[in-house]
Amino acid sequence: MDLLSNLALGFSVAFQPINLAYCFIGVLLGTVVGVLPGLGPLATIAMLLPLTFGLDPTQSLIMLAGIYYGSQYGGSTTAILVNLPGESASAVTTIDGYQMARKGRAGPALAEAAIGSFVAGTAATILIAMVAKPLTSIALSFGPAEYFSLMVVGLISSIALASGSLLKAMAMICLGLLIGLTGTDIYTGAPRFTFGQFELLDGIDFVALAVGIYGIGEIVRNLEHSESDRTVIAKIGSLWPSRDDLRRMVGPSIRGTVIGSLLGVLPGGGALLSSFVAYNVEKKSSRNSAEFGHGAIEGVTAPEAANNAGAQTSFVPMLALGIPSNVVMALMIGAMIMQGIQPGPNVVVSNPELFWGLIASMWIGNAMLVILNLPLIGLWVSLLRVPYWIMFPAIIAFCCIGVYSVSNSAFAVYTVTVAGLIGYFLIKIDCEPAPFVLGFILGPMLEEHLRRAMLISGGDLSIFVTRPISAGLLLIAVVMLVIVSRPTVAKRREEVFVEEDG
Amino acid sequence: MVINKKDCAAGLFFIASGALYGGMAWTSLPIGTALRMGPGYFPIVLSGLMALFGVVIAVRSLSIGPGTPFGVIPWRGLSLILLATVVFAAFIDDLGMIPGVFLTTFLATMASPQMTLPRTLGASIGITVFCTLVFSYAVRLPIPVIGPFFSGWW
Repeated sequence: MDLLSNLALGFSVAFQPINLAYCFIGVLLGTVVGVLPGLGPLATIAMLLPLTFGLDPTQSLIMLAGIYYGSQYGGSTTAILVNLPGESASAVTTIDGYQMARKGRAGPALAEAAIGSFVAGTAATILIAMVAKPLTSIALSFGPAEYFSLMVVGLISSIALASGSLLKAMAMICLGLLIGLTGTDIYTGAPRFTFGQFELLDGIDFVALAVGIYGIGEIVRNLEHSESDRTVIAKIGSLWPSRDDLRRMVGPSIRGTVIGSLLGVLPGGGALLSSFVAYNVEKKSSRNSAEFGHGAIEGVTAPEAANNAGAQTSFVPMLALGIPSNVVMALMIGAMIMQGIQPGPNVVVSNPELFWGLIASMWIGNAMLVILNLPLIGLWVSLLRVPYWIMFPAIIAFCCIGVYSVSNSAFAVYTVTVAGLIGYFLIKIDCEPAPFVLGFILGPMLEEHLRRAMLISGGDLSIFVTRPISAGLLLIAVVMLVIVSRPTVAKRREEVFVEEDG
Repeated sequence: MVINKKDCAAGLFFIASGALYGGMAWTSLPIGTALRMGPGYFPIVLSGLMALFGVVIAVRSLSIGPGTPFGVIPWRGLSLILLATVVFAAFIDDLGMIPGVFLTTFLATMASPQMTLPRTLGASIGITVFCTLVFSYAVRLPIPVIGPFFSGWW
């Protein structure tokens, strides 16, 4: 039983007191920051990254993973209590979660989010443990053509998540890829798009870019509304779901987990797509579909289970292939490289204790979330009462300090300024930043694999369709593109996102 | 005729960026062949595609209706927040954690329209104390608490 011995190794690492402590700190800090409205997992991780510098690689990744799902759960709390999604993946939770809260059922909604997430976390942990090893062996047979096609799939599926027009999303991908190419060309050493700045020879700092777009850009957008616009925090009341609630939760949490786990593995998928799909599936299939939008329990449980499962299984392509499936994973890869670990199929062989320890700690972290969150809910509520005029200067200070110490240079902080300005402008003209950021991360890798594939094939583009795995992946990309651009689907996408804004 | 301002702006933005990056690649980077791609090959393909998308977006914006309003731009907030980050970047090395963070948060707090002087001072001092305790003493980041600028003062 290879799987069991691997998991045993993982748990022996994860249960070391020091690792348990870092997992706990990560979950706690992640929740604290994630509860704050407008701060998603990405900004949270970027802000807290410096805290992990002194740790060894295993501890730092365990803590970062804890921060990730902690912040995701914190976002759900905010979504339910104040109707403000702390991060995009919990946008769906606001629809029914806030309605439940308004009917005085905030307690059960919060409990269900926690329990649904825990069920999903458990299943996803087992799934990762099962598929990671076989996937890494497949990954070892991947050539440049396969990697190129896989990244194309990732980029195309990020379009499905972007609100607004497909054309804009495609243009944003191109822009992201181009800006990602900034720096020294690896083959010829020629500097590209550096505008004469020698700091840009190493490329644009991803943490700074992400903090600028998701941290600063969001704050400026929040300043558009005066403080009085913010909704009142709902009363919590009793936490415990009734027996009827529990019975109604079973199906949605299982279906949500399955949907989330599958979509999370897809490059470009992850938490956001999972929660949207899970919600829509429940809405279609539930016997209580009339209740959806007015506080249906299923509408809270399913997307919460799905986004947590998706968040976890999105570690699979990162750990097995070294390819980030979403922007949070890109940050994780950055953190691994800073720790001296090159992500990819070799991690499982060269650092088994890190690999399996991380997987096991995900399950422990999820258990901690339930234990931590239900009793501490009062604390999160009081955090939500901190007025925004104290909150946002603090966020700016954290962002500056974080970015400055990640790269130890003032130049990175200037990058935050520029990225914040551009990010705000892009949001203003309805261009979703996610495809841009994913393009930015994949740009250099995509080009490298394209050039290698061309060298192998002798400049013949047909290499991408004659190799079966590559052809299959490209077919998936084409099918996805066709599906999202069909008028009926395009209209439905708009409706989903309108609902989210409402 | 009602044009969609947001889409029109987006289209023009993508055309301009495509022209800028494509131009830079065209003039300064070797392009190479499909077999041996130079550093300019992929960027030129991308800029071309982006400019093309930009043209389509801009043309469509003339006929798809006005769309959602542009909304207000909080100029004061935007500029103060950007200024706060610039001030941090420019002076943190010399000033150190306490004065640097104080200055940054002081500027940032003023971005909110409802601020009064006591609130501004209170928030900045509180955040500065918090950041110094957490980042200088707990995490021990290598940013000096009081920077070299003040070294001759006592």
